[in-house]
This record gives sequence, structure tokens and C-alpha cells, in this order.
Amino acid sequence: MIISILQGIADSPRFQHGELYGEKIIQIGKDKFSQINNITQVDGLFIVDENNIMTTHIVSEGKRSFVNIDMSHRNYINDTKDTLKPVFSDGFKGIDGIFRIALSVPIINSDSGKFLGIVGVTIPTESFFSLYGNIHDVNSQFLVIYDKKGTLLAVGADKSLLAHNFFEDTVQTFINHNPILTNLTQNLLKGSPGNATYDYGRGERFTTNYPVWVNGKPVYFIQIVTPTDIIYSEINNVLFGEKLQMFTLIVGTVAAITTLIMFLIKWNIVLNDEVKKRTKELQESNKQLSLSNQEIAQANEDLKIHDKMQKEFINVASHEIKTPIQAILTFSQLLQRYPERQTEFTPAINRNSLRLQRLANDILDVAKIESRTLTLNKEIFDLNEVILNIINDYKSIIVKENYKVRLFFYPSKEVLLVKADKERIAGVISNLLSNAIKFTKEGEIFVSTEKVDNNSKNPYALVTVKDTGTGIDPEISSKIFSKFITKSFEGLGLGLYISKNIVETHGGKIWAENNNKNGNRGAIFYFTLLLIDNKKSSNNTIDK
Amino acid sequence: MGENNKILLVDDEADIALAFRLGLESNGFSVDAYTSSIKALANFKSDFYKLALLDIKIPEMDGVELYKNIRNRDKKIKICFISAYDVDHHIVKNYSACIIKKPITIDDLVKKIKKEIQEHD
Repeated sequence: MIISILQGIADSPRFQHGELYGEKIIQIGKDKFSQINNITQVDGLFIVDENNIMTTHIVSEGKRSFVNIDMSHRNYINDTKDTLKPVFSDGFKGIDGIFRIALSVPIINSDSGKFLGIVGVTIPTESFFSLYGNIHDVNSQFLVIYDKKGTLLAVGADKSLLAHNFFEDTVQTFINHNPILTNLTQNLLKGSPGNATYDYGRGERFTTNYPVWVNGKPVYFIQIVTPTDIIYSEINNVLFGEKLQMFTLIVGTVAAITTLIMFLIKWNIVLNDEVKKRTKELQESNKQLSLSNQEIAQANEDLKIHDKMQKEFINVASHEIKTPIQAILTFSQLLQRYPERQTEFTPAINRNSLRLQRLANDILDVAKIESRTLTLNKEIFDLNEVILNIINDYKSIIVKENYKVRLFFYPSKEVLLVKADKERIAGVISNLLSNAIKFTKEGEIFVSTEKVDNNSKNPYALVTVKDTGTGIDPEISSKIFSKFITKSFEGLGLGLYISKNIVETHGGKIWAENNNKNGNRGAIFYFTLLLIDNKKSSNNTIDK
Repeated sequence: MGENNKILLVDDEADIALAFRLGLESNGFSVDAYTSSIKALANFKSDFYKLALLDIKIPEMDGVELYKNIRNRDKKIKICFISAYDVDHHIVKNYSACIIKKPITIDDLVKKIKKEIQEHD
């Protein structure tokens, strides 16, 4: 770069015309001096004429300027003039004692080829080479720079060696005549790159040679000297750093993996919980679905049963209605034909008319129960008295019809006052008794009542109808109080359904069981009715 | 009316059995009436009755079973089922028997019986 600027000066028109001094030249010199100083520190820009006389000398502020002096004593002037090529000088000590190098370019007329003079710069070696290495710090890497003669232009190890030749005693003493370094330096000055490790008493050093080539010739020779303890230290530092980095990496990796594992475990737990939750929801959903399906299946089954029961009811109702009608119809015709047999036919007509009436009443009662319009005409009465009257009626029927059944009544000792619909309760008792007679072709029927107190505020009467008949068919035992349930060839199967609703409408309960204990047979029907306080009811016998 | 005017009548409803017996007897039939199918079968005599009038829903042995037993013992006897059950008519429609629905007047019953006897004579 500097050579290019100097060459630019040499090739400029004024210089090409041999104008090497004067104010214009000084100005150009100052401009270029300033320009070069922006690149590196130079302390003088000189112009020498063809007779080696310095015509112009631009120097740094405070420095002494030399003009009109003969520069023939400077080798670089002679070399430049002789070679007519740019010269990188060896080191030389100035009048002021500062060790320098010079870069000089010949001024040659491009047309005639005539040598007109030299333009060049002087550079203090210490400041120049300090730009390219840590010269002063002996504890670290530094540069040693030689000129072609082996003179030290820059020495990082010891400044006092500057300007001394490597092969002088001063330097050799300094390096304790170390043959390795000497050999290395000799090779360097021959232009050979290379390196060596040696120790001349100041610690082991590792030095590398770098010749600086200009225009095909080595002009300066650089040795980069590195105290190996620095290398080792740095290697150790690097190793330590790498170890630390590796350790950090391992620790970081382990931490990352651990974190990842923890995260995965946690995530797994979360997923597991979610799966459990979803599974539970699914199971619940399936359960609900299953229940729904079961409910639908049950509803469907109930519907089928209901449909079957309805058809059965129509069939049975048809029979139950038509049978007494048939009897009434036929006996009426017979009565017309044989009026004299009125006493024989009239009871049959009457009997079947009553049967038809009972049937109609039962159907109407069921309609009332299901439409919730069954009304009770309540009054206070003695339950035992009502039952006794019914028992007596049935005893007459048993005798009259020649049933082989004996009927017994065991009333409670206490009067059992109830507030109820007498006619309806009588209907319940009649229903239970007629059933007992129907299913006991031959045997006994026991009706009993008792007061059940149990120290409760609500004592009740328990009515029991026990027979020794065929008992309740297991096929219908669970639904015996439902509609249309009967094992009889007569009746619609409404009696127990009506009785249950009447008892429950009175706040009582009704149930049944088979009398299987101790080899017995037959069925037992129970129902309860709440009792009223005898004293309170004494003045209130009828309450409809 | 032919020589054989004997009718076997089985109906578990006593009033019905009595009423039909009296009604048919007043129209010249000789009627053996039973409320028990077991007893009716026990007393059954082959080639004795011209026609059997059987209720279908009878305890112990229903009308269909009674029909089979009678038919096994008497191939010539005319048999009619008589029932107040609507569905029973579907049960017995495949048997060689006429079906009479209750309620029926004596006159109509007599007409049906005579028709049944004449058709198969």
C-alpha cells in the first residue's frame, strides 16, 4: 500500500518533470505523508534527487527536517538508484538514535527512462512492528523481526537488543548461544520457513519463521516466539474449558434428560389420569347406555306383557260378561216357555244378574282407581262387627251351596274402631273370603283380627284370612295384586288389585304368603287399617 | 229329527249347563249335561250321542282335550265347541267341529245343532 502511494508520487506529472522541491512539492509531500500515516506510522517522507541530495523532507511535528544533505551514505538510497526498483531497507539508526527502516521508490521518467531521483519514507521499526504483534509482553507471544543482515528490527523479548545483529555477542549472550535458535534464525535469513522448540534459559519457547517476500525476494524475517508455558497454559485452559464445557454439557444434558424424563413421567401421569378419567367416563357412558338399553328392553318387555295382558283381559272379559248374559238369556227364554217353573228359573237369573253387576262394578272401580277418582265415604265403625256380618253371610252361602269348607272367625278382644269406607272395606274382606273359598274345595278358613300397638302412636288393626286350599301359584305370587292376575276359571283377576288400592287408599297395607310352615298348605292374606282413639270417637260415630 | 237325538253337553258353568239342557230338552233333544269334563268322559258311551256340545275353557280337562278323547272313541259323533272366549275360535278352527259363540238364544242353538246333524247325515 505504502509502495503504491510512493509510486503514485513518483509517477505524478511534476515529479515526472524532475520537479523535486518547491512549495507545490512540499504540499504534495505533506498530503502523502498524512495519507501514509493513516496507514502506518512513518516519521519522515523524503525526496532525493539524482545526485542523492535530499530536496524535500517532510517529518512529524517536532521532528527535525534535513534538506540539501547528501544521502549517499544510506544503503537504501544507493540500492534504489542501482536497482531502479522499490527498496525495503535494512534497519539503520538515525542521527536521533531511532532505529528505522526505509521504503524507497525510484522516480523514473516514463518516457525517457531517465532516473530523476527517489521518494521514500522512514519508519521507526519499533512502532511499525508493534502493530503486528505483542512485542513487549515477554510472558506471552511476541515477534522478533530481522532485516536481511540479521539486524533486529523489533524484539519483543528485550528492547535493548533492538538494532543489534543476531550474530553479535550481545544477542548471542542473551540467547546463551542457543544452537537451535541460531540455526533456526540462519535458515530464516536464507528465506526458509520453519519452526523449533528450544530453551536458552528463559523458559521453553516455540518459534516459527516467516520470511516476508517482496518482488520475489525476502526483505524482512519474522519469528513468532511463543513461550510454551503459554501454549500449555492455553492448552490447559482450552482443555479445562473444554472439560468444563463437556462437564457443563454432560450436566446440562443429564439435567435436560432428567427434566425430559420428569416431564415425560409427569405427562405420562397426566395422560394416565386423563385415560383413567376418559375410561371412567366411557364406562359410565356404557353403563348408562347399558342401563338405557336395559330400560328400553324392560319397557319393551313390559309393553309386550301389557299388550298380552290387554288381549287376555279382553278375552277373559268377553267370557265373564257373556257367561252370565248367556245364563240370563236362556233362563229368560225358558221362563217364557215354562212360566210355571218361575221359582226354579228366577234365582238363576238373579244370580247371574248379580254376577254381571259385580263384574261391572269391578271394571268401574278399576277405572276409578286408574283415573284417581276413587272416593271414600268414611265413617267410624267396629271392624270386628263388619267382619262378623260378612262371615255369617258366607257361612249361609257355604251351607246353601254345600261347600265343604268350614269358616272360623277369631276377633280381637279389643274393639277395633276404624274410620273408613265401610262398604269398600267389606268388599275387601268379601274378596279375600270368596278367594279363600274358591281355592279351598275342602278345608278350613280362619279369619282373625288383632290390635297391633307396638307402643306406637299409630296402632292398627291386622286382619288375617288363612285357608288350607291350594295356596298361591308360584307363577303369579309376585304379581298377585296386579290387574288381570288369576288362576281361576271365573273372574277377571281384578279383585285383589281393587282390594290393594282400597286398603292403601285408607293408609293400610296388604300382602300375602303361602302357609308352608309345619307341613301346612294354603294361603294367608293380611291387611291393616289404622285404628282411631276409642275415647275421641265416642261422640263421633258417623263421619261421611 | 232322526232317531238319535241324544246330546252330550259339557260346560263348567252350572247355570249354563242347566239352561242349555232345559232349553234343548224343550226342543225334543235328550241331553246328558256335565260341569266336569272328567266325569263326562268317564260316562261317555261310543255310538250313543248324535252330537257333543263342548265348552272350551273347562278346569281339569279343557274342551280340546275332551274333543280328542271323544273323537278317539267315537268317529261318527258330531262335535260342536261353544265358548264365550273370542280367541278360542282360532284355537279350534282346525278341528273337525263346528263353533258356536255365546251368548246364543235357545232357538238359534237348536237351529245350529239341527243343521250340523243334517249336514253330516
